[in-house]
Amino acid sequence: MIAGSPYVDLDRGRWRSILARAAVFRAARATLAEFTDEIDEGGPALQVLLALEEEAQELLAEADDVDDHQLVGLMVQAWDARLAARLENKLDDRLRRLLGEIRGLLSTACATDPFEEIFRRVTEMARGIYRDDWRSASLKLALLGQPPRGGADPYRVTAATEWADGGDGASVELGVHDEGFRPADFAALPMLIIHECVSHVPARQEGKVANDSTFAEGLLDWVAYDLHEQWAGTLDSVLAPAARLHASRLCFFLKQARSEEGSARRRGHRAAENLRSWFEQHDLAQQHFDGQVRSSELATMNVVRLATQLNVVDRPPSVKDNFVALLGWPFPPTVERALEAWLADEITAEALLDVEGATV
Amino acid sequence: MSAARVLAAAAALREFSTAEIAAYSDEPSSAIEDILDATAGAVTRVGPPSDDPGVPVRWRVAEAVRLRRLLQVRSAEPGRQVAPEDEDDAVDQLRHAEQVLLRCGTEGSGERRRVLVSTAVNHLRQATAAILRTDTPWWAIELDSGRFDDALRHHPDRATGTRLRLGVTVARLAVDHVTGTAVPGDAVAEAVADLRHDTAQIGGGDWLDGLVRGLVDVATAQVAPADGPAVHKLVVAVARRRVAVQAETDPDAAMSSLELLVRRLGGATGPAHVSDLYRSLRRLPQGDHALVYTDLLALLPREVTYDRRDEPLPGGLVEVVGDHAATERLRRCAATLESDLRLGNIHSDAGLIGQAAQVFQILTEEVPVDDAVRSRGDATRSELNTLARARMWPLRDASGDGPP
Repeated sequence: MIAGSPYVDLDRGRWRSILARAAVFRAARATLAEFTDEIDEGGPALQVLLALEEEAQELLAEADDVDDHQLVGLMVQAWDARLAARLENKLDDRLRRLLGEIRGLLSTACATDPFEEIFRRVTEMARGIYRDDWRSASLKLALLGQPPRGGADPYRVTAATEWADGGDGASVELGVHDEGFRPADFAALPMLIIHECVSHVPARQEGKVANDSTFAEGLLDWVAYDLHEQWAGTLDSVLAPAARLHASRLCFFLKQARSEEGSARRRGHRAAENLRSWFEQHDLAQQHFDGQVRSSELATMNVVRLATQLNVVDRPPSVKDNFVALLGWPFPPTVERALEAWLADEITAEALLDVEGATV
Repeated sequence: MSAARVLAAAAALREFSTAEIAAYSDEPSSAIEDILDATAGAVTRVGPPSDDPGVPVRWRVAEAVRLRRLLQVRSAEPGRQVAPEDEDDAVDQLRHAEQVLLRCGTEGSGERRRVLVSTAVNHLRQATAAILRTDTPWWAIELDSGRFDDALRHHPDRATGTRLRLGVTVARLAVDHVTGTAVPGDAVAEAVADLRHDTAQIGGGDWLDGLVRGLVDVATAQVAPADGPAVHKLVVAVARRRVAVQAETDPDAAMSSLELLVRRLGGATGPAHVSDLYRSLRRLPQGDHALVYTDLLALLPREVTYDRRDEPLPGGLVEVVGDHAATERLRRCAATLESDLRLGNIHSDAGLIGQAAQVFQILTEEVPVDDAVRSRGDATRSELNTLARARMWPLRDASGDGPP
């Protein structure tokens, strides 16, 4: 019996279209950092990819009666043949080696759902941070008719989270632009999913996820990037180099955006950096250290801990954004005193939201 | 860096299991145990291990100072300074403050609006401090200080100075609004007149439309009386929305309209409540010199004649001299609309405008053979429906309790 789509909102044909590509990208993930750079260069690597995208469409149209495993096998054959043909042409040594490596890795391709695999691992890691405050989460996959963010950046994937009524569970929807799903998008998936699982899944707040929130899209996004750095190797050590490269590029593009979301991201990242610097300088002021050396690791950990604690305080997003607005450098004395009290476990993170001067 | 991360997590969490540390780092539990054991007592196990293998071993920081010294050795790096905010970043923060300010008007909850205003004010203070390169800490900047206003007026980048002054004016009005502080309409009008000169000089910018719209929104909300009969509410609601929409296409004209609007709505010489939609000011041999709800002019048939004289309330009321047929038609349409509004028992601005749009449809259909009436009537009805959907700041509660 031929299985359908594992995703309710995705019909079998569309699911297989995405799966066939993702399975090949997953198999070749050790090479994706280099391969995506070559694709960006626009030379033979891009030509191979474009030819394969065209071939994949024909293959999918003709392979309706095969199961997912057979489909992936056919896709691998198509890649193998295309790469073999390309390797017969004149190529520089570096590209020849790269395409040869990709060809060698194709045999590891399988029809296991790679999206669910990444999602499951990320949720396990995020649950470790939030522990009792973690909310169960499921993954949905949707195909987008248009590139996300209006095509303002080269990535063709996006993600969003919705909470169930009553707040018991969350649903993370991964949006993939059908026509544009490429290796770089695959490599960016861990970062996108970590952002959703760190910023939104466990969040306690009224209403819906707010994409213009400096707290959720900025401060917590900074935390998500830090955790991605830490987790990438544990999540998938083979994909890690490409995942780190594309997390960084995606961050760059999202921070560049002129939208309210881009603005929120810039302000929140700036606040997180200010907070880290304050924690570093606070350490120096406490005279635990000699000379001019400080621990950025401890400061970073404190930003992560504070942001994740605030995330599960059940207050409106606007109140958390208001706290972020107080993190302009240098910090007001009221904020400094409150942060010192929080570090000393004298007050909870929630009390920081009501720091003196927080409202007019 | 992994060992440093593990020690940092330990220092931050103070008491933990290795699984908790693993969540923050890229090390497995066994490696974390090795790293913690190597601290030689700075981090120790809490109590004896449980007989139940499912109960994780807990660890505790026993010597915080020594742990921090170990961490210092592991993660030694040059001291990092906070990057000063550059001009681009300050303008970016200014833009963010403007976005938050504009969001205030669409926020339905008074409490959340107050929080949003605080957020915008703090971003604006930081942008002001960075743009003026002042020694005053950002949180000590008083937005209504003449010193900062002077500095902004004389800022070498005139567009940025004007932009900031405009943002500060919107923010100050917003603060007064959410704190229930009354501001005389004439004072608001003076501020608008002062800014109008500068905004006209700089010749626009992608930020100008939004800020002027925000100014129209909060300034009219601040000075217009919240109470009054339905006809008054309708005229004020339409007028302020119409000038707000005008800001998006012609900010200079909107600033002129706004100055007049706030003087009339809240100034010392402003009119009392609008009590009717048609008021005869003077009877003339050929008809009436009258004060009329502006939109009623769209319902005049082609064959009547009238002359627009003045617009005492931009977008809301107009003075006309019309012939007898025009006078009769305007008087009758006004009476129909007034009667409908009176019976409708609708209190929200959007509801009143929507109701007026419905009455316009009926009044338009009364003159089926006149294409001009049908065309103008339909256009007005459509515009009213659009205005009804516009989200605006609620009018300030005159009781002093602040808006809902």
